[in-house]
Amino acid sequence: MPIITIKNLSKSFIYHKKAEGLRGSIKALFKREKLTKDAVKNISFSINKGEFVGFLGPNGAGKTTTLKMLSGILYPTHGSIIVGGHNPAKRESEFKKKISIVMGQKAQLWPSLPAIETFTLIQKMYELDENNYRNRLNELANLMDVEDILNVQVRKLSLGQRMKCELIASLLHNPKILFLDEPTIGLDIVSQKKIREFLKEYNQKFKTTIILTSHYMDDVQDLCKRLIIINDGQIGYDGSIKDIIEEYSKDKNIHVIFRNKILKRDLSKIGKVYNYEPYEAKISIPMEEANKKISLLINKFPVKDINIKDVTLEEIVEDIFKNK
Amino acid sequence: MNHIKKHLNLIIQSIKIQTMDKLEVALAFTFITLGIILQFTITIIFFKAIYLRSATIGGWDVNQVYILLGTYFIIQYISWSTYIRGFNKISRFIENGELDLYLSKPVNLKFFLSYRYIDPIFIIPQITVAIGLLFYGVSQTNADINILSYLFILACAFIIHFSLIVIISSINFFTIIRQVDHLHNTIFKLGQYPITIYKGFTRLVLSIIIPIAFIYSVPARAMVGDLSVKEILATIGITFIFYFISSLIWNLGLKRYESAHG
Repeated sequence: MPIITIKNLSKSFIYHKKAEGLRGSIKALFKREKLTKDAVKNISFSINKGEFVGFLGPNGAGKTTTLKMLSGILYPTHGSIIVGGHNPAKRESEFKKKISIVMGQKAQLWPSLPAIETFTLIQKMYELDENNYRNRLNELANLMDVEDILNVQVRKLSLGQRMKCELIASLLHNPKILFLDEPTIGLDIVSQKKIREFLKEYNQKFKTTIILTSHYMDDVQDLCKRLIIINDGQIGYDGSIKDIIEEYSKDKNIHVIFRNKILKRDLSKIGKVYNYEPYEAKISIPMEEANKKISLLINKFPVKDINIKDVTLEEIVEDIFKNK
Repeated sequence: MNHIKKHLNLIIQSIKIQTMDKLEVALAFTFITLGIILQFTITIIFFKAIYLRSATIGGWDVNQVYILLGTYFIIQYISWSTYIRGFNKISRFIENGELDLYLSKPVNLKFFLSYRYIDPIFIIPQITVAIGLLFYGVSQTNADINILSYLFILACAFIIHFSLIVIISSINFFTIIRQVDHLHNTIFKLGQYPITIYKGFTRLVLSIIIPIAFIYSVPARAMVGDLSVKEILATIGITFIFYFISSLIWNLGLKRYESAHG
């Protein structure tokens, strides 16, 4: 039974175009060109309870707009959304108690006060019973390993510690659905890893449905079984990460450096040349021909160095972004 | 009932948070208090100077004007320490998308913004001086004082004032001009003078379209027992109409909210 269902969802923004310079600004006072940007174009998908879904796309692809429609922040232009049995656009309190949204670039913690003060405000906001609130806070603080910093002014915390506290603030009311928009943005590798470990453990322990957008492929690969790729407002892929890797792993990617200049047309006999310079090339070879073609490459060409690797998720996603 | 309890809990927590936050800048308290005293002194000197030349202005004697000024400052200071502080942040919240976070919370945004940024520290010297001025006027006047009527009309005045602030703040949802917050600062200043000094079209505008008269002059007249039943009913009517209009515009604005893209 899906906990999130969206059908034929679209969102358009109206904006005005202004000519360059002061003249353009004065002209725009009287006449402005009205333009429409279709941020999300007729997308449909459903997500089951407890799923951890990676939502990927380049900047401006429509992923954040979709998350905002799912969380009731934006009204859709067309289509229907059901999240936890509610229409988010109605912005009902009961709906809002079932969800939570964390935006890596927006803070809800009061910077000049310790995080615990904001947590108390959230307790009142969600009408959490004192005992439940305390237990939940202790549990989350323990999972995040932040018991010692709850009473420290937020502005004195590191970015990683702040994000941990932001996550606690978003999870205190035990939401059924969690929307994470770039939760690890700007964090160092160690902090990113800690946040990922927490999210993994949290998802397994509480069976919360989580939708994650991130530019860091490690986040998605570590945490999500399912991937939805959105590009230019449309869905480019919706399926398991395993399937997409298998699909694209039909090829081996070879990065080769030559001692002398080589012509591209000669290299094309080996495989698909997707990146070429006279002394260097990247070639894609079907898996079943890999051994034969690599031997041929080494024997026939003045190879200085060769690097053979399987295709990464990052490359797959990049390819889908480009080919859309 | 549950809603009221929830908002009361949130108000108490907001006051605690803001008190702790403001205590971080204790020195500012001294300067703000000095500023308030200076503002009062200048206003009083200004009116004293005017009343040296005339016993009444627009039918109001100096003591009635003190009651009017007391009312004006009570409304100004309470609103500036509570809801105006929150609503003035809307343009910034729209600009940087911070409103997203508020919209995802299970609270009535309009009420939550009214007390989220409450200033429990600076309001103390402000309200003390304003009430002091009001009671100075009351003690000096020969008129029959009607405190109950005053409190009732003052409550209506606050609702009209709040509604106007909501309407002005809602403009932020419909236009990219982000300076609308300064509008009310200018408009409400007109209220520190008796409404009777304005004539013709200006008076009509300040009575019906932007009912400044019902916010300041009418409560002051209620205090000195100078209000007819018809005027009380008109005040109640204006209160309902403006609250209704403000809710309509606010909800329409929230529906149009497009968030900061990214």
